Amino acid sequence: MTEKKKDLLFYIVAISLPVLQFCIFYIGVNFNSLLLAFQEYDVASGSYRLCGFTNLSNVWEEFFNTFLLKNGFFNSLKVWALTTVISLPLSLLFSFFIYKKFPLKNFFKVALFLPSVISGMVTVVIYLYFVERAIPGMAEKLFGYEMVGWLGNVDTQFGAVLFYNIFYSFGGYILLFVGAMNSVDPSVSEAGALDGVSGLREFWYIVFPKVYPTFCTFLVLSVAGIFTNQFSLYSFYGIEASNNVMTFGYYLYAITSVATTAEYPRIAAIGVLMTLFVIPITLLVKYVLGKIGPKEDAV
Amino acid sequence: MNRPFRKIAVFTVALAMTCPLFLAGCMDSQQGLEKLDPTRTQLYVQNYKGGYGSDWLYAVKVRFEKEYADREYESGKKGVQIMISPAKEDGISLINKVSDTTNEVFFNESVYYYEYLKKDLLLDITDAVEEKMTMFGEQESIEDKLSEEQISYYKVDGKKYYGIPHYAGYNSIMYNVNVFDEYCLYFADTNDHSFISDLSQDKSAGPDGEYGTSDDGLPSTYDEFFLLCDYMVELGLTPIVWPGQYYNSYIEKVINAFYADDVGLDQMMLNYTFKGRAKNILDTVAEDGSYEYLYGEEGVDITSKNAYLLWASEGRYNSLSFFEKLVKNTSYYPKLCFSPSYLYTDSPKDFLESVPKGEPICMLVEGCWWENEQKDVIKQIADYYGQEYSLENSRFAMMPIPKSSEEKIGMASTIVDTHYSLGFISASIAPFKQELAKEFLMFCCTDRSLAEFTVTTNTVKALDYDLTQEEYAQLTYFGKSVYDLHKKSDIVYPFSAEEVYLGNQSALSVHETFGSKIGTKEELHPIGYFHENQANNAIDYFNGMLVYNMERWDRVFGGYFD
Amino acid sequence: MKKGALRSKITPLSAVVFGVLIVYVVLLFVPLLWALISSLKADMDFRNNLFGLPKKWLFQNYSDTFLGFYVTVESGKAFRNVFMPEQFLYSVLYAGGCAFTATFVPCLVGYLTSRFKYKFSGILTVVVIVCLTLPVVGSLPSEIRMARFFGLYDHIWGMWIMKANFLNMYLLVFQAIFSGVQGEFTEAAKIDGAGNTRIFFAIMLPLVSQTFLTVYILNFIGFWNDYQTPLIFMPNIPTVSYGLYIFNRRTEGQFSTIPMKLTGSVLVFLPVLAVFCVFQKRLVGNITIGGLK
Repeated sequence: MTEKKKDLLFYIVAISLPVLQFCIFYIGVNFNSLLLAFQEYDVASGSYRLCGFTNLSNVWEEFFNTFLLKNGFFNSLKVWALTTVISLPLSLLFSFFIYKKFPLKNFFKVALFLPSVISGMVTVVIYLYFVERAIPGMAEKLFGYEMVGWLGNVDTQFGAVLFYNIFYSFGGYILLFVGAMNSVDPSVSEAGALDGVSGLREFWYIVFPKVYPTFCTFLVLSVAGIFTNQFSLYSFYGIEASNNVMTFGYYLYAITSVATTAEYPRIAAIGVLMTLFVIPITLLVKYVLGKIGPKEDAV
Repeated sequence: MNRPFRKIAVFTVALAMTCPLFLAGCMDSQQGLEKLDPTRTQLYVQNYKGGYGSDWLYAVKVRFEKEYADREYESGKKGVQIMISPAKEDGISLINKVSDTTNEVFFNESVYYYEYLKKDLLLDITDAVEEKMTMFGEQESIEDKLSEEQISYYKVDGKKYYGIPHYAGYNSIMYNVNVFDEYCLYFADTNDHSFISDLSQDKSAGPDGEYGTSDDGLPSTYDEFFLLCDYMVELGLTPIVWPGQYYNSYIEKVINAFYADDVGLDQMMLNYTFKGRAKNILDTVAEDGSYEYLYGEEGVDITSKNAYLLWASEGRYNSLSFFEKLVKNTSYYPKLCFSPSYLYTDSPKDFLESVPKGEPICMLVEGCWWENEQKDVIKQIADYYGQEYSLENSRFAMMPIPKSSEEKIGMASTIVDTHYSLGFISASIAPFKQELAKEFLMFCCTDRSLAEFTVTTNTVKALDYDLTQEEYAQLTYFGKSVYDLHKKSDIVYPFSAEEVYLGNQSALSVHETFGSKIGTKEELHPIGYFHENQANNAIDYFNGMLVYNMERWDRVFGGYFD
Repeated sequence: MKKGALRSKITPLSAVVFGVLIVYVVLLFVPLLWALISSLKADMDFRNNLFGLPKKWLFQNYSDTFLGFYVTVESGKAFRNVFMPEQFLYSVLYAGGCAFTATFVPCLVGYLTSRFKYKFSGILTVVVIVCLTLPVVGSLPSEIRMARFFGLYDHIWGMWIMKANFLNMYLLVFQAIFSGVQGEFTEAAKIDGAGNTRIFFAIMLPLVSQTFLTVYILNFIGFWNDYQTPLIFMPNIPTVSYGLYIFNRRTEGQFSTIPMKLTGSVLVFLPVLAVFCVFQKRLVGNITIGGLK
């Protein structure tokens, strides 16, 4: 058997089980759900029947004529931009700080990772009561100032939820970033230090190229998840989050949670429409990031 | 083994080994649970243990087991053991599990009946519903205890029953009678809407327009309600409280109740049947609140094609205006009423504890099950503050809904059951138990069991039955007020077997029918909208509801009437 | 060279980052401390005294919660209560096993798709991205049906299989890492007569072992905190997160209060914290050493 054939055989054997699992538990399970976007419910028979692109065109029309979907769309973009713009650079900065062994780096490493260990149910409960009860209580007692909790106050709730999402998001990023940074050969860093390369230059030319693939992965995934990210809103507001904070992912999740069989086709159509929108963007971002990355040998 | 993989293994094994160490404790895995009796046949019953609890079912169990002690359903076994499952799962999540559990008979809420039916999850129980319950000494059948609306919904295609209504859930405003008495929060029998200054003074006739009834002195109109609230604030009391988490759904149910009470049973049912003549459909409401009727005195025929017109009903406008006024006056309620941390278990607790703390809250937005749900809290408060706050010494009541205008005083009260509760038998029950399960369902619907339910929970079942004087006397003050209101009101069961309704049961449920389009923006919940900005008002919201529903009607429901 | 040699001088930027991290730590620990203190209060005390010390330190809250923290499940034809220790055991088995399969499979597929440039590899990558963007609606009933059909329903090992998929971000992580591995490694091994299987297990897997461990830990934490899958697919094998969900939903009596909910949260969190503290050097420490060279 030639080398090529051996490779192919190994490839087929090794990939077949995961692909089989995928076929059963993703395609097998979800195919009917996707098909829903092209079906309608017949009450009399209690079954679905094909209706072509009617649902999609209805949703398309709905998208341009209603505020709810547009609002969810733009809120999702806003949330994505803010969390990405704040979380990713901060994580990089914190990781670099830890990598450079600044004071208390081990303590910070543990502290930054700690929220990832705690169940979301626990952090939500603690954050909710702290923001809604402890802080207003403290403000009243210390300053005699009567305030409404930030999560309940319509003017501040977006910020309060955004803060929660960012604050508890560093763990995974930092673990992978620091791991990647540690793969920098210490002698390269040392040589740079001897040549008087500043911290920022070191970061940009030596360290960042090492974390770039991980950075890109996070970025691509965040783009892919723009319209499925529900921003922890369900944990705070159940199905009643206000228009101020409602993201697209949350909207879909919330309406799905109360929908009946007959109502799935419209929701499925909304999902498919958003996917058609976000797939090319995700692939484009992936392609562009692959083209514009920093080069490791630029120092 | 490579180091990291060894670490994974060590880590997992270490964790797994430490866990059983905890087991050293003497926790009894059977504590509070009934042991299986191998000499009897088991019938597994799941009850949604929410506000109504399970005490009623345990009471039925005792009597049923006694009655069936000599029956044989399996060889070598004698008698029946009712096994009550402690699972707490409502109809929405239960639908995926019905056939996976050992449970055979279900009492649950939020059950979309026809959805279960289409999935073949329900056993045909027609004979049990139609048969006179003579075997239990009664001359009536379950069907005899159903209203016409209920029969048309539960009797599929007018032929077969697969489920029966369980309890009734009415959302409204509750009040603390002791506080009302102490502060004389009743209108005097005068024309100037003044309050009595001592309890011996004559009270006004209240919303039912009759003297000598339990609603005497209570606000008869929306205007009087706000006069009462202002008076409470003046006295340093907090008028009302509701949960801050899910405040929209809590209050929307009450907005709906106000709407129903304002328009009456027949008009309200148009929202579900889409058949009949709608009256008092409004043209756009002007900025000053004035309006004209779109179809004059005659009204308009409603079909599934034009049912969006119902969102322009005068009753909706009236009820929205009422709640705009309530929400916008922040002196009427505690500031936590819009905090997601203020749960539905917190607001009743504050309502109860406010009195012994000397900062009374007079009214509570809740459902008729709240007192039963709070029994333990009431006991805790009585233990902590004194027995004058015990359940026996407390007096709470459901407030009859005030009328939107003086002309409507004396009109029949209309209330809405919002729970979609259902009693049913799983289609996957073993054949030899089917008769037993049906008989158990019937047993739960005998007058005796229904009365026992009411006495135990101080709430009502969604069936027609009467309590004896002796049974009535066993109710708490609150239970009596619920029962009285249930008996004297027209009841809206918000469903029908109409195709558009069945195909969109969730989209047409109370919670989803408050959408509005104001300018170019859609809003889903009026309370959130009013709360968001003082400039937001019921006029804009109401006008927008017609626009919103006209726009969505064809798109969402068009498939049903094209 | 000693690692310490990398220790940097303090610069204005690092001082700012240091300051930000200090603020972060304060913001992280103050609510936790508040939750801990509140969990030791009586309900009445908590309601009247939101952020002071407890009037009476109720350590009993913890024993009560420990005993009240159970899930009643079907056991044969009867019911039984599953308490916290047993829930922990299920959590370890559930999270440990699922984390392994959910790490190994993306690792394997990541290796295959990045090292073997067949068309199928490219297609698979695009399919994964598409699936990650696709919100699927109402698939729960068919997922349950499928689990039941294959006999996986209500079994921990069943969940291991169900979670053994490559449809997650880690596939891309492994792809990126395997793409960075120089070809000489495999070429040299092949010259030595090693087959593909041996190359993967003996050469490639150890090369990415640090990342594997990192991903495993992240997955482990994710599964540890996942309550929805056990709730739906293993109703009679409650994990501790499932237990917490049920506990938080309890509305009757003493467990419906905020201090008790906080007690439950702390009680679930404490053992995890203890394990994390004991193993933190091994867990967080080790993966920062080395990596791919």
